[in-house]
Amino acid sequence: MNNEPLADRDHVARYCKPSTVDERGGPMASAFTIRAGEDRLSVNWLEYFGASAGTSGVGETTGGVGETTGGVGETTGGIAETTEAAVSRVRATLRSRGFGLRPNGRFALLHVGTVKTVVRRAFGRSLHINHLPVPDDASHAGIFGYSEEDLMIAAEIRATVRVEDVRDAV
Amino acid sequence: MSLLTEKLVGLPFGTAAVEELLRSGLLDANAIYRRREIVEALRRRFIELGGDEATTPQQVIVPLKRVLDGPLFVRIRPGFYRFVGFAANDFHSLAVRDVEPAVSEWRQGPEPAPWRSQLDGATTAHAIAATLRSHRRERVANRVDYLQELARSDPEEQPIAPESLWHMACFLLEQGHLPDPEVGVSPNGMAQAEWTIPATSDSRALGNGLLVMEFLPRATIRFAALSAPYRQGVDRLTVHGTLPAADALDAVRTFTARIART
Repeated sequence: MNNEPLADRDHVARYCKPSTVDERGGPMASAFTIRAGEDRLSVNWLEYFGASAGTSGVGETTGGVGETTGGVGETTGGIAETTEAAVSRVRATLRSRGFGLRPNGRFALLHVGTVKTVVRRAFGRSLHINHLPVPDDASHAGIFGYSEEDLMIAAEIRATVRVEDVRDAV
Repeated sequence: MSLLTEKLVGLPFGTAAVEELLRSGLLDANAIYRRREIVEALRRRFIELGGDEATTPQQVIVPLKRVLDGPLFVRIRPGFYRFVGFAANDFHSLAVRDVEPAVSEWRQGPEPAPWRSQLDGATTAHAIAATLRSHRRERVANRVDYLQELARSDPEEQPIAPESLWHMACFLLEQGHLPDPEVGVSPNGMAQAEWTIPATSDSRALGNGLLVMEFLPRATIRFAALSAPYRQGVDRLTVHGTLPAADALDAVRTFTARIART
């Protein structure tokens, strides 16, 4: 699969470098802002590594946007372990690509359907979250559809991230 | 362009030529360039203006190196530089020259605030942090020091653009009633401040809101605020835009009223 949209039930992880993580260890909106000249926010697709799609509860909503089903901590142990295993694979993948993951960095786990729906209903803007495998990183994906000017979209994405949706980078 | 047209054309490429060409709007302020892109842009513009067509990249590189080490550029990582720009280089005097008011200009009484002269003299991130520290913004100052240290020690991090940092400091010192924000760096190297908006008693289930301000050069602020995360069928307040500092503050007053410093 290449440049195919990810299923709404799936999840992606965004590496937030330390300058975009607040003093409490939470990602800031700047973690979801793109650099001038870039057309996408780079993320990693968790279900690529076998995470149980649609059941982990990460940032997920059901029965209408905003009815949160619960964070990872409220899921069964086996499912949570699958998510944790997928995040571990993402860590290993990014390291193999030469990314210097830092102790004060974090991974923010995002639910594909929630991010797309929140932005569409709040602004009428369509985001696309597509699988974009690159050499040495078959799980790579991108969030398309907003520019560096769109601080509000970054803030909306940031607001979907709860404490239980954050993982240490190392 | 007088220097170029009257003196430099036909002469070897020098530091003055580099600076004169940069003053002609060759590069965008605050954009990040590869060094070779700068070299090629300088060489082409020089030739366009009647300079020696045989000018080589090597002839450009030598004088450019001196300029790259000066105040017009910030080295982001090996081979990559941010063009600070001439106006931003004089950011202390921007408030006087620009139409857009600096934060410090508006609603200031006849007597300058006690922090003002110290901040006016602060030309480095360290000095700006020291000003914050000595005027009840110690937590923000410590965070700025941390972010600068990150940029020094981690090649994937970048320092906050000095004029952006200066304007954020000016804003926070002026708005002493606001609590210390979380401070970060945007992907383009601008200072970004973030406040959590506490949920009201009837919206507690929705979660907290958020106010984000990105301090751009020339005393403008890009801002975004939401009173609560999106939830279908639930009313909430949102606002976003890019405005001069004073107008930005007015635009988010509904939100700042909920985060007043205790």
